[in-house]
Amino acid sequence: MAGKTIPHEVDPILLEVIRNKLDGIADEMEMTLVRSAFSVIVKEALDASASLFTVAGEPLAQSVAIPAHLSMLVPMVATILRNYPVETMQEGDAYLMNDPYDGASHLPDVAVVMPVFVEGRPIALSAALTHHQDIGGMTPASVPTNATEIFQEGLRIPPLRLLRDGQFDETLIALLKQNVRLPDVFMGDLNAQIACCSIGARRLKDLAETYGGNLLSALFADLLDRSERMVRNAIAGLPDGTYRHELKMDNDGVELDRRLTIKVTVVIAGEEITFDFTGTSPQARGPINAVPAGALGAGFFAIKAITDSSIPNNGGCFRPLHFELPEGSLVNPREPAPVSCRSVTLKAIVGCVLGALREAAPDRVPADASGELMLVHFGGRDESGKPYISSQLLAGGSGAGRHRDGTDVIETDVTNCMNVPTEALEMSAPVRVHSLRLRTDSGGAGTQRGGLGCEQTIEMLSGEATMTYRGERHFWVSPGHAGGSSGAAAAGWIDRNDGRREEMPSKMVTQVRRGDRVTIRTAGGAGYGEPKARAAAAVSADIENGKISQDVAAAVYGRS
Amino acid sequence: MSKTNGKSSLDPITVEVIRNKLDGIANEMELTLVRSAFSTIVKEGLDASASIFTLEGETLAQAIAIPIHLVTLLPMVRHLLAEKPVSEMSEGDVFVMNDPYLGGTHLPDIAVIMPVFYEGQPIAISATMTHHQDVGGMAPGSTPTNATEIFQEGLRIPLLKLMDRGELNQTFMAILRRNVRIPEVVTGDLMAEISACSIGARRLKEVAATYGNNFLISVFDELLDRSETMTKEALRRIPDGTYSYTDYLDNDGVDLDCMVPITVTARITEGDIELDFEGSSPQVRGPFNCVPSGSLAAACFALRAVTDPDQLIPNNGGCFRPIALRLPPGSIVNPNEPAPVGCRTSTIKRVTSVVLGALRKAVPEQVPADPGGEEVILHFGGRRADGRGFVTSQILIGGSGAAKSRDGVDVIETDATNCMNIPAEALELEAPIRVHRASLAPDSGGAGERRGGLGAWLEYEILEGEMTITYRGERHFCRAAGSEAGEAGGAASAEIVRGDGSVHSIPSKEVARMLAGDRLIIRTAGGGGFGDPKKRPRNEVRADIENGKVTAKAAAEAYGFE
Repeated sequence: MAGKTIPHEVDPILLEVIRNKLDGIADEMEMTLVRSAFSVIVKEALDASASLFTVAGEPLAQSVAIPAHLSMLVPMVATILRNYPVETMQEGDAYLMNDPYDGASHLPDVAVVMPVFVEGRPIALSAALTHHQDIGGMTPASVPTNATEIFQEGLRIPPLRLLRDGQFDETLIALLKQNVRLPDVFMGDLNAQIACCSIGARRLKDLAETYGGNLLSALFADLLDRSERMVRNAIAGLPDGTYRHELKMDNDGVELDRRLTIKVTVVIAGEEITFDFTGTSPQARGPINAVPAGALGAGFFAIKAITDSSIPNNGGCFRPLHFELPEGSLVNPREPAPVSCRSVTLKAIVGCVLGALREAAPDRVPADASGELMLVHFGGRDESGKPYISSQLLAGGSGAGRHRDGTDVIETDVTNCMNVPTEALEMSAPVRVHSLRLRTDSGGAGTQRGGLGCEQTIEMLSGEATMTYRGERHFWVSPGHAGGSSGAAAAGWIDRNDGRREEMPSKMVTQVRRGDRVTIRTAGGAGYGEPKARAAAAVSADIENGKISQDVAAAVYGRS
Repeated sequence: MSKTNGKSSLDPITVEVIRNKLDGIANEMELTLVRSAFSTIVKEGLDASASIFTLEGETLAQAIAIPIHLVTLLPMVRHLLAEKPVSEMSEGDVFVMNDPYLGGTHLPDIAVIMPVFYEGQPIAISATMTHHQDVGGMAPGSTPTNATEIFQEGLRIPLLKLMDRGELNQTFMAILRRNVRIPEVVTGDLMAEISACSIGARRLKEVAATYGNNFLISVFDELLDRSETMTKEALRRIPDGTYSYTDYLDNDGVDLDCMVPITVTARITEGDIELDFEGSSPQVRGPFNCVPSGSLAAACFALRAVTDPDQLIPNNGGCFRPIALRLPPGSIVNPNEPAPVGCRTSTIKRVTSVVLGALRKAVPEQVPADPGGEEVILHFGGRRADGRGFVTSQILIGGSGAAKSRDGVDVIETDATNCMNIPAEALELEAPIRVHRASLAPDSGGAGERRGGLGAWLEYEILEGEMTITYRGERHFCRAAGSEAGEAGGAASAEIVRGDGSVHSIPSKEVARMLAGDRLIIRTAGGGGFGDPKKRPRNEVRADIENGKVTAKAAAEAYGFE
């Protein structure tokens, strides 16, 4: 698979046209997926993505959505091709799976893969990955922070054929509907995935009509080779060497007093790079284990982030990357370890990889981000007895760079979800959002200040709901860089209707009832450089904008 | 439901021959099921059963196994027939399901149902049900006592074709294998169910070959009618009237401080009986809700016990025709989806004993005092030091209630369940556990002129690694009542003695973690006594002391024995 140069006969302009066309198709697929979905988590938080693959299972194009999903689909597509070789596929087929121990990432992420046929021959695969609102298991929304086995996390779907000749496998549909809490929402989102794949297939066929299936297949190979070449060049531009970094995670949701370690050794040698996670904590009892797709995605994302973001995003980019993922560790757990909350770990892995690469490319890697994607799920029944499940996603601040402040409340790295707007949240569950605001003084102080976290207060209006809270950075803040301070820790608590206050210890599953108020504070990003060296005008502006208080301005920034 | 066709023209000897043939077939199915099963709970606990049904969904014969399985299969067979008329079935089709809200019982009980054809014509239905060792969900063994929704209890299987004209449904098998903790055992037991149904089908065909389809079907009708007539006659011997009884479950496993009442009112009028559960607890948060199949089974069993103590009436669907049930929707005996139901066996046992309690008021001499009426279900799940997973179970029982003419029996399954305990050898083979004690619990039988049966006293030690145990007891807080001045049976108890000597008391139900060196000590409940203890013959009290059933202290206090 070594990088081949582009054959002379391929017109580079045509290649570029096709590439943009493929990206356009992927984006149209994504729009279809999001617009036709039923669940809040897809409609509003956009936790879904669409991709095109070669028939050999290499990614060709991905919608501008969640970076982590691209690499996650790779092993899933490989599993499906292994179980259903492409020559056994027919037009009108679609395949389905979600089992992390068969290539998927966690059970709510269900992949649909559809072969695309031109003149009776498969030329590509169209794929959609959606985080479903519920897939059964021990808590509504299927991401219990206290699971200790995958069997508790919901329905495991091995690679199966969902459609033949466009007809559902009735057994599969009956089992799916019976084992999820909101069968209508699940089927709505599943149908949106099928629609998404079908749109991709239709557009690819149009493209094949213009250029011919054979030429198109050849161009796909060229596109992958070209991306590989570009990534190799970019890696070659980094200084050879061995770079190490390590960071801690709060806990695994089950053993609450035990911190976990992510450790990476990055070896850059010529145009290849190896990520070795030896030294990372053994797999955890709680559900923060991340199957290999997670580390793969994190490594891939980190390379993209520090090299050239204009490199076309496809499977060629993966070829120069190598991974050492110790078996039985947090980054390569053994069945049946629970995995549902692995995005916490994915973010830590990216943070760790970026931390290591900061040494190789100091100008391109900012201080540590909050790296927190706070997730809270509410599931229960409304007053009419109708079941609901809704979710909120809140980000923290990003880390400050050498030349700029961190961004407030922004999704960084491999996840790229949106928060759920107040209106949508209040429509989908009996809750009232009382506030959503920036957290003053949460950004790590520095010459360049870290981005701020936010604070949201949500009140339950009726009945009783099971709430799953999954935070991070409660106990282990993002460390500052080059004299900068760390960002503020995350926090969360419940003010019960009877006046008691309960702390939320980074992860928990609990019941909330009418009148209970849940307050969530996300973490801030780390600062970069000595706070005292921060420009006075910038400090003044921060005070005016309420981003830092007078006290902190005086005590930390030395403003008199 | 009765078909009154007047005097039957069938030869009574032939009818009797065929009836015995059917019972024999059901028993052969059961043997096949148990002999070819993989799991301890079936091989040793015998928690599995086999039945034959008519095409209308009435029970024709059942193996001598677990009484509650008899009628529990019925709503599933009815659901199948409602969804899929026999005319659309083919030879070689096999159906599977377990969903309690579609007629099932609780998720571990998977039913396999096969229509039987002879010469292309459907003649009967062969069905088996097995309690599978694990069907996924939040706890190994799939009966978590702390579930609050059915989604936590395991894989829900709607009515599906397991085989289509002999072809196994690969989609179903793939999902099943992926969603249970011990796929080899579960698929092994499922295949045992198919074999048992096939044996039933083969034998029924042989019978049909001898007698012809039409004759056989008319015999089936005759058998059902006969049992109906005999049951009604027996019911007429019970004085007409209205009889109520209430007993309690300790708690629902979730709200631990709240006892759960189960109330029944039996109205008997001229050979018909209505059992009305109005007044029973609303459905509970924990998994002790019992879907109608279980309530029906309990009621049918209780009625069979009272109307046919000598087992003269052929045991089939005709016996159930005179019964009408009123199960208030949203109550513990008829919960609304998605209430959890995994531990409903405790409820079935209590439903059985309240029905018997109500009937005791009508025929006090025919019904003994309340039994221990608990079936402690204990699951152990974890990994050995070498990483191999295990899930195994133990079933423990208490004593039966004393009756007018005899003492209660020690440590015996009563009423609707009829399982065996797992022998120490089998348990120690399946899991790293040592059984230190399995003895009678002295003084646990309720004192009386006739003493209640004793409960058991057990002690287990965890030998390596760690495991999750699910303990589900009853009668910790609500003892078995005595009858006619007899005293209540002893309460049940359970505690974990940690390696460091600390003691944790289990409040009737719990999911707990145990580590190597921890010990679990359990005492099951005794049955209620009958009659004044002071009237117990002195030689019997002395014998009880000698046998260690009653201590000298208790003999003095309760029996006035000097």
